[in-house]
Amino acid sequence: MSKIAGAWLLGSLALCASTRTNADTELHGFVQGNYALRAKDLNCPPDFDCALLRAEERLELKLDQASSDGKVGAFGRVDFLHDALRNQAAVDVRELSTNVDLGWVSARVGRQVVTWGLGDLVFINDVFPKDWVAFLTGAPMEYLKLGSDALRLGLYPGPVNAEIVITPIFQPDRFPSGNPLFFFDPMPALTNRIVQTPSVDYKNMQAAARVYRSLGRYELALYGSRGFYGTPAARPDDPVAPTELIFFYPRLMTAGASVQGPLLDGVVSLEGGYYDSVDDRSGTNPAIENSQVRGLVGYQMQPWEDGSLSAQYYVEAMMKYDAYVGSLPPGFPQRKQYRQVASLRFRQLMLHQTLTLGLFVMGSPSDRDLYLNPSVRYQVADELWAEIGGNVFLGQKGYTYFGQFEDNTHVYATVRYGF
Amino acid sequence: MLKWISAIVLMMTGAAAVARADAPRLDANVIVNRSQAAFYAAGNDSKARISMTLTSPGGQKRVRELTMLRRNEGNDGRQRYFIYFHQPADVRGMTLLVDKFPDKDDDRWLFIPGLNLVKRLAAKDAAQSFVGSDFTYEHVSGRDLGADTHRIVREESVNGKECYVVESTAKQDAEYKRKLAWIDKASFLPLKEEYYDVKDELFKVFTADEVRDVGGVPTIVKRTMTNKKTGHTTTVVFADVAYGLGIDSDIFSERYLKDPPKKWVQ
Repeated sequence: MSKIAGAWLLGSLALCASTRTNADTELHGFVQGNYALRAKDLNCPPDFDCALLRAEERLELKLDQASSDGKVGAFGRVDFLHDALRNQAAVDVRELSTNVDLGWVSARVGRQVVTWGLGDLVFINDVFPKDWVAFLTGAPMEYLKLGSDALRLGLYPGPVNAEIVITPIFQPDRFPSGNPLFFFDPMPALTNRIVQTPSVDYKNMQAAARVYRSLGRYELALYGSRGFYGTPAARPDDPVAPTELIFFYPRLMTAGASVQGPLLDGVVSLEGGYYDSVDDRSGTNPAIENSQVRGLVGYQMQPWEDGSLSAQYYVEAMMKYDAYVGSLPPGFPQRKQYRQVASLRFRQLMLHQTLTLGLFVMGSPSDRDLYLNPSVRYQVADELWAEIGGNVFLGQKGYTYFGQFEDNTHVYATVRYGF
Repeated sequence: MLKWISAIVLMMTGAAAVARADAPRLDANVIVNRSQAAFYAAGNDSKARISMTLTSPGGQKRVRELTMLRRNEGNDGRQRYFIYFHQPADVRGMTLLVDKFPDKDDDRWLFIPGLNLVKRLAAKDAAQSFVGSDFTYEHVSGRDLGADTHRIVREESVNGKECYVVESTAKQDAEYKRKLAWIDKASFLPLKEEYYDVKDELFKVFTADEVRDVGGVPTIVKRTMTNKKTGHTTTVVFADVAYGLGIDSDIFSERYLKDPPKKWVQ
């Protein structure tokens, strides 16, 4: 953190020095209240927040500085929050970076949000950190993406352009680990748990790249990455007489491609990728994910004014399924070889685009589980909006992707005043 | 020689000479074509800081502020637009890229800064509202000449300016069944428009409230669209308008959607 702050400070100083009075500085932000109420009547364990999943107030300050020619800049987005659930205050540095633009090369260093790929709430080539806890506790969608502490290089030589993101220190996804979230735990008896993150080492440096170009009205992209799974694998310290559960992050390499463009009256998206599970290519280690092929096809259209409808079908296939089945310890739920997920998103704007009705439905025919997100947002005034909605999780089995979160089903409310 | 030049200038500007009753009348298609060129495509490119005030029948006002860059791509009517939103807070930093084709649907991309995500939008309906205002995408960037049949219904003056009154009837389902436009004979800018719905009832009225000369280009710097059925109005003010700036085509790309060019967007 101090390194990033240092880099930012240096950048800001360089910026001020180089431009003196010509630098543009903009300060904006918002004040937000965000609350989520569990929609199920449960017998929660003691010391567990049973009613509320989220109760927090945030002040976000966004500082954007740029030299008058736009060649050098700095950007910060910092949240000061009060978490009523834990009764604590915290500072959350969402982004803090400096950038330089040298014509056909640009660079941004520091904490920044990186997103690419075409999936709607499924990720194939986007291997950047995500905050699933925020998602599961009713935070606005932008909080699903965590910033990466990274160097991002943009190369723009002509029709073919590229982005390269180098992340020196591994940052995992944020996954549920307990209060106030329920989730599937295959070894609940092992309460003694440790987490092993990849050490800070040149060998563990993560790199991801995207090369893209337009071809007529179509956009093509190729992707590649080396790094680690964002979600941890778990293994007991001793298979016979375990005393603790070790969470660790296996190596991952990915390669993929996508294409997007017009089809009939809408836009079609295709994305695919290969997940090379480097630490278990044979598929015989039950703790580590199989190598996978992942693919999606999506289509979005406007059925009528201010309405939008999109549909998506996603599948992931385990490449060493027989080895996985053969090595699965007795009593563990067996996954299907093909996990399929279909989704529909509908949005309707009304009252001069001040009222937004949304419905997102995502279900897996293979897992037999479902996620529903109805929402209503009203723009009370230019500076003020309020949203209420629900995140509903349903499943036949308590171990599937959405099924495990059934008891986290909640109603959320967000009110934001921007300035 | 001088006479020839004068004649050409007169023809090009469509000045008073053609307005006289004994002068040959221009074909309605020519008028609409020249009107669109004057209204939507002046100069090879343009930049403007735009303030839109949306007023509800109850008097509540909402303000959208944006910078719009336009670049004409060749002479066939293809244009690209880069729009940066300054206000309100909710959309600040969002950018919209519109690739407009003369004979097919636009391509549109929206950049959402919080997610650092460029999202391609399905854009079938050019007649849909632009950012919730009474103006549609078509009002912002123009409508295909061939989408309507045009005829001159009469000549009339608006605020002392001689105008052709052109009726445009939609060939297919559109925002309107027909439109009457009062097109200034001198500048070819529409000074007033009336939109009629399928029941042939007046539902929208456009007025050019202020026309100013910007580097030799007559420009509507203030305009209003009123929805006669709902009472909702949108007033749009153009500030810092400039033409022929040499805006590089690179600007209209994913790179600059994500990192808006400070040189053009303040």
